[in-house]
Amino acid sequence: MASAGSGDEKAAAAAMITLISSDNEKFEVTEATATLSQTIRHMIEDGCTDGGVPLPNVTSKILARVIEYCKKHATAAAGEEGSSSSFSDAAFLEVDRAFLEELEEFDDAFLEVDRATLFDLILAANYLDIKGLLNLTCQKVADSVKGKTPEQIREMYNIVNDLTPEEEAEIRRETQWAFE
Amino acid sequence: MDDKISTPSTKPPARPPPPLPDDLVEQVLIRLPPDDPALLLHAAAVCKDWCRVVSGAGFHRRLREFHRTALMLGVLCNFRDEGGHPNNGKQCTRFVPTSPFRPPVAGHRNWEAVDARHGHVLLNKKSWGYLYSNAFAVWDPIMGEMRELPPIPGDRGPEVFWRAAVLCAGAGGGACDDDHIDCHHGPFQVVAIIATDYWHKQVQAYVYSSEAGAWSVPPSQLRHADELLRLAVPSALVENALYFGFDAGTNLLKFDLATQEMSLIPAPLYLGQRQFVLTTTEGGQLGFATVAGCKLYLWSREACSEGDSGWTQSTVIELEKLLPADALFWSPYVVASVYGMGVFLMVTYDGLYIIDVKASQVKKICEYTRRPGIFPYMSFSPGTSFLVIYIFKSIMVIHEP
Repeated sequence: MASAGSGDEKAAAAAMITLISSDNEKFEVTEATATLSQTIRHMIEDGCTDGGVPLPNVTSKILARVIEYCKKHATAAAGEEGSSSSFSDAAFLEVDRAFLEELEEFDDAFLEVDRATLFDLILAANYLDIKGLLNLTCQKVADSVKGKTPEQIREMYNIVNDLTPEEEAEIRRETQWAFE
Repeated sequence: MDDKISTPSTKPPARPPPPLPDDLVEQVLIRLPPDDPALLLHAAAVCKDWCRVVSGAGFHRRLREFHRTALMLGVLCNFRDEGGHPNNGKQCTRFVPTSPFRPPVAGHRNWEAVDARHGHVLLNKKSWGYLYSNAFAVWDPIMGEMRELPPIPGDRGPEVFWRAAVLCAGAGGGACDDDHIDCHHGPFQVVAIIATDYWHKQVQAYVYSSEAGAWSVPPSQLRHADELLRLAVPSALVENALYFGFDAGTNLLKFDLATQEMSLIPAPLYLGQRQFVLTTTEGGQLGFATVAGCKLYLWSREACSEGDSGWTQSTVIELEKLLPADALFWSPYVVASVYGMGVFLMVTYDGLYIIDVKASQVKKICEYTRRPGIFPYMSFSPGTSFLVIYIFKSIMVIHEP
């Protein structure tokens, strides 16, 4: 049941959910994929997904990326369950490790987006309550801020400096060592 | 990603990222590496929103909860000023960084560090090489504050054996959780154990509370007919008690913080002529570390099935495999341990090394080769502590009409 072929059959048989983006595009996804989002999981539990789930805060472009992430990670979750129930030999653990590496590569490639998209993904991950995706995207921004001056950070993320010169001078004066 | 933004091209200019609400800015900033407070300070200087996020009271706590483990920011080393006579040269204590953090004040002249815990450093005033001077101060290297304590009650000569410990006010009373993630820079207490007789057969505890601003003298004294109670080793804090070591004998001293009573517990080995430190093991037990030859022996005191506690030799580390040959010219000294982390500071012929037993890693900290008086300085996210107290306050002052 943990092989790729049977996994697909299982997915095909599973219930499908329709997600509707802010620009009215419809996406058919499996319940396993959709429930990576805690927000959608609660809606399914409450039985209010008939006729599709409207997501007025997420554009089709971003929703497509989010679904791409969820599909990959839902497969990973299913694989983990399969491995614990039916396999324990070293060969399978090896396969497992390979899959985790593949997942890591997927995540790295997934983050190769422009900064605006990255922020859109953070907003969507937060709205849809997808912990893994929120962690991934926020860590990416944190890593990009590392080692940058305040000026560089503002430029990168389109942030207007609304601190007065006095305030900025005050921050720098109190913590001179950090800016040397 | 950088290339996509900065490279001029024929494409229309990149769409600017949408603004993030404060809670998501926090989600980003909370993931900055916690050992470099400069990163948070840079973030605070970006704009008002970001400054508000990092200086918010809740952020400080959530940051520590997110990263959880305390970090070693540096070590306190006691130096003697160069050029001075060995016996009368001016003593000073210095913060030697092991992280990107640099304290506002790097050290204190005429003072010697005698303990460090929960963000506080306990200093003792040095004069003419005396063993003991009745002048103590508590220094907070992150805040840059130093508070001198009133003298400990009673008269005693300078040749007395003593040890003192600093810790948060909540320790022992249950007001502080085991991780001590919320007590740094807050109220503190100092426990001093001092011999009361010339023969070192009796010791007395004194407790200073920063909230009361005064020393108290718990009624309990400890007397031993046969063994010398010459305190010689910095303390370890394990659960509700401080443990101190002697320079001889077969016992360790336990000071119960809740009852303020002293008692003796057996040491794993005879202590005479032995150089050792007391520590807290990763499992939260009392630990004992000593070097013999080129091996580091670790003991831990564990509860036996009968409910009694006994010592178990837990690990033996071959230092030849970790330290360079230069460092092993003479047998290294284990001088301090990092609370509950299996990390030890060792003075060697080649300088001061930090050894991570679990990760089998070593790193040279500095050329320091004096044996006593080295204390690791641990903290959680120093940058935020700094921000909360200073920057936000000063910005608020600017905003006031």
